[in-house]
Amino acid sequence: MTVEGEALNEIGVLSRIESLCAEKGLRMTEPRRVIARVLSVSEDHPDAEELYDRVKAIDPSISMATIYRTMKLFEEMSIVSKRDFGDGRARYEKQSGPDDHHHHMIDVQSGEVIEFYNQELEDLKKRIAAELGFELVDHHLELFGIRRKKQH
Amino acid sequence: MVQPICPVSSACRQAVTRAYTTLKDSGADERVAFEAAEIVYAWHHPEVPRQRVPFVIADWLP
Repeated sequence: MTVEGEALNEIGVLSRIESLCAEKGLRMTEPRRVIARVLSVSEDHPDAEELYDRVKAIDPSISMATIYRTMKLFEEMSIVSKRDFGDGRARYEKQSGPDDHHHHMIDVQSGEVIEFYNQELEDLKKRIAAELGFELVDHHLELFGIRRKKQH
Repeated sequence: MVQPICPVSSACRQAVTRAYTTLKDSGADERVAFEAAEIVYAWHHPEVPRQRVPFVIADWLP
């Protein structure tokens, strides 16, 4: 069994994304269910092609077109977020809630993506919004950089 | 950006679906067939941003 297959077996009755789909009244076809489960166990930010590779290992009948259609639908229904890390590929992650809110630091040389949370930054953003007469309801931030060489 | 409307009978749409189904029928890998369809679409519509292309043709392909 593949790594994805083993991970999928560990999921309870409904994955987080499946639950969100149910909450939003989305009809769950088998391809949607497989894609939702693969996304739910993904620790990284897969693009559509990476998703396809993982989904294909579970159900080879699912096409690239189905992946793109499903991701468009999930994005439109705010079930996943689409991210652009500057490499020309749309990447996806589970919609984060108040408990797992985070941002991304992207290494432009290696493509490595690091998730981070900074309370000071969160407070600053709320303050800026307030000063402009807004209540902050949503935001996301991607930082791009090159790793500094270690000093010897 | 306004996306071009391509009815079923349009040349671009027929070319895209033909490229994809022909490749698939001849045993090509799904990714190869899909990428070929993307290239065909981009040739017809160079004005559409490259990132948008797979989402557009996904509505036309099985």
